[in-house]
Amino acid sequence: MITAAELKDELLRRRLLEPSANDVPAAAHDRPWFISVVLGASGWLAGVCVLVFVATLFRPESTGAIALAGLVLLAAAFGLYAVDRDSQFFDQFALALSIAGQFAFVWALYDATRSEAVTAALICALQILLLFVMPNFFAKLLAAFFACCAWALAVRFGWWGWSVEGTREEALGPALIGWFVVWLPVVGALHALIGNESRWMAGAAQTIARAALIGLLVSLSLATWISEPLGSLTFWESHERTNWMALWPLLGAIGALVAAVYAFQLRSRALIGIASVGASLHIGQFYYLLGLSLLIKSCIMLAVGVLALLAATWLQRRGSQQGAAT
Amino acid sequence: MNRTELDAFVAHHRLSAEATRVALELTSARPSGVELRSFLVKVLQLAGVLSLAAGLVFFIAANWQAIGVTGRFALIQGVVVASVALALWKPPPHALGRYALLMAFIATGALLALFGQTYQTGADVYELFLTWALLGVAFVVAGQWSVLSAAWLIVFNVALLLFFGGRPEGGWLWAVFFPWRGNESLLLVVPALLNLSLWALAEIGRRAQWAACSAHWLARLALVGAFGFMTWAGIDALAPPSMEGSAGLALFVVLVLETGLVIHAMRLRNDVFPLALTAGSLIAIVTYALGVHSGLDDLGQALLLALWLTASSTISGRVLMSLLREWRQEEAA
Repeated sequence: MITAAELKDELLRRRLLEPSANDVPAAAHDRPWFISVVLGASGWLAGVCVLVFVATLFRPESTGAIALAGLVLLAAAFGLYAVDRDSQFFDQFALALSIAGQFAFVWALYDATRSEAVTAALICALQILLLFVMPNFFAKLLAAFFACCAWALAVRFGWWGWSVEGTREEALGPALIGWFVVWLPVVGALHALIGNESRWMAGAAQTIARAALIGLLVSLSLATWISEPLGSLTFWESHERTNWMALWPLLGAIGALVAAVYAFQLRSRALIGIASVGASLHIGQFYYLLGLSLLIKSCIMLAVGVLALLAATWLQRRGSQQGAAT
Repeated sequence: MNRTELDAFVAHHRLSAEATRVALELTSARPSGVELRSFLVKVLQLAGVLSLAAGLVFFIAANWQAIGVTGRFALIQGVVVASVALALWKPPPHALGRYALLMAFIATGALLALFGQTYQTGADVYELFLTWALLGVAFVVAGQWSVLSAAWLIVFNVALLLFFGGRPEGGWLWAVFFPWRGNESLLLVVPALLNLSLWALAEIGRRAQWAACSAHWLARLALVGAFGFMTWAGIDALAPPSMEGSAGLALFVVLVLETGLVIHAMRLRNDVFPLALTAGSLIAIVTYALGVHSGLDDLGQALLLALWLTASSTISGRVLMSLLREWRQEEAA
């Protein structure tokens, strides 16, 4: 494994680096994923508590007051992030305020629009704005993740509505198109980011792009839980109706495997792990979602299994042939 | 160099896109075509085997009313036999042998579920998972594969969760714990201790280079299970209306165990993961305690919890990162 010093020497030798270059200071965000999970979960809970505190103290009753509270909280979070970028305390406090502000905006937007789809779409726009604006890597990462969640929910609610009883009959075509409308742009963005990594790493967009990349990978891994939140709540529904949206968890599992491959290209074991867990959980959801009979699901799983093993064999043979040719 | 270090390197030296591309090559930050193909093959193979196993389970669930009793058992037993035969033909560490034993392990669970449904033995669900885990030990030992060991660990923990969480009355585990007269929170320490034992075994196995425990994440998985039960025990001990004597003992035992793990990690100085779990567990337990026993009104409670969560996570993060950097420097030196 090459060290930073060896890399620097090699780049100097190739004249790709200025001779006067100093050594790199310690990385700003070399936090392992499990520490980020502890901090993120705590920040999340603290955000809810701050929202309860603000709501109890000020009792904003109008939509405007709630939106104003959200704006103040987000502005406060931005200020804390911008003032001191190295302090863990301010990072966490700012994260709590940011999450509280985002909750307030969701509340205000839904109050104003009374539409789940429109609320989700506007929150998606807000998250994209936060991705670019917030001067903190973890906040950007969360913004990218939440943007994908909001986008998935916007399409889901916009197309099929909120009602649990809305698990009406859905043909295969709309069900497939719906899933791809949600997740194909995410996969496309991932592919573009990974394909152009050297370009954006060298540019001013490095922090934004890196955060967006991780956020997109995590959201693709946990895809269908986000885009079909009501699916597993219909145990009492009749088995007679065919609803091809029951395929979504299976497509989500495939999406998670795609995320695992992208994560491998980044040599990130943590992201591979998240993708693996996501794929397994999607298969569990596939079992329970009503709309297709278990027999059909069984045939689909068997066919997918056979196809996957055939694809693996073909790839292996192709690799051996190429290796023999060289 | 990981991605974070590379990002910092590129930003600090203001490398061009071409220089960044060269840096990614020199640091092997991107897998080669051969590596990527190899990974893709493994992913497809694992996905294929698991899809077939899931398809089998779905098929049994879909047709159990139509297929006769003999047919159902013959089907699943056939899968077990065929998988074992494949594993004997291409024994582990050959990939086919490993995947075959994974399939056999999953099929064993399906067989037990079928047995329970067919004969209405009255056995509790935890007994299914526990028996599955016990029968699966042979496959884990033969498979010599961390993925198979992890699958076994998950099944075993589901059994523990169902028994110690649901507290059903029946089965041989209930017979063992029936005389228990202590608080239920103290009982939750038992699965925590079991997971800690498995964690220790996995660590020993990894150092002894046992193939079944070779992956670092396997030991961490057992540790996550242990901390899950310890946190639950701590929270259960603090549940209102008031803490009994044995509930206090449960909390004390949890704190002692977590302190012991912290001391162990500080002595080894090579992994902050146990410390991160301890921090998360203590934050969760104290948060619950403050939420339930603070005696404040909603306003005071919300503010107190927000401040506690921010301060505790910040201090934890600072300590953990400080230790991580210090241990990394010691390792590099």
